[in-house]
Amino acid sequence: MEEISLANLDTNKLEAIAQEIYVDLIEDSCLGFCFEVHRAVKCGYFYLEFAETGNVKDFGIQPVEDKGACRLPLCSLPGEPGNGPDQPLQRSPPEFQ
Amino acid sequence: MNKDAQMRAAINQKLIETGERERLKELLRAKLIECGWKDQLKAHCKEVIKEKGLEHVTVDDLVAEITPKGRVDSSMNFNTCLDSCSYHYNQALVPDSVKKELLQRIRTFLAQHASL
Repeated sequence: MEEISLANLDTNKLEAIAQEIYVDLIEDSCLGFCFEVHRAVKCGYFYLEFAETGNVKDFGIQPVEDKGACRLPLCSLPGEPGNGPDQPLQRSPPEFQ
Repeated sequence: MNKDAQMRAAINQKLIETGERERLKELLRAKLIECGWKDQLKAHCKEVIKEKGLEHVTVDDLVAEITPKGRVDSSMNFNTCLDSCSYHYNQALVPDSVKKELLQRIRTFLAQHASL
């Protein structure tokens, strides 16, 4: 292939080539970003990685239902007497001692 | 292939062979994150996904909505913008400083590789 020389090109043409390369790089960045987002959506981590504000309901995902106070003896909710470590632990039935 | 096309192909090949294209991409990526471009596009993505639905959004949807916004810089005006002009006139996401730095690096490369 014969050697191509840029030295003979005028400034406008060189500038046009530089602009084309720049636009190409920007397009590349945009496409790369789109693929990143699409992958995050399809793999299920979009709202973790990309949506720092808002919540999952914004994206039509139902949050896990809040079933209220946990009934395990060692768990407690603030301000709710009767739950938590104050409750005496029950002895295991004899057959399990 | 005409001479112009031949020259563009040769320049692109040189950019790739020397690794300069990769370096330019990395530089651009870092600059765009630094200037908040990625954050702005993330916010726009959220809107697109809310509109299309998380389960139904496609790559084409994202490319169609995100790319026109992501490529805008302050040199675009009512006459040159191909998309909805008044929106883009006020939404230059790529700062001038980033564009200038990239263009300068590209011009330097072209000057250093005057014969391909």
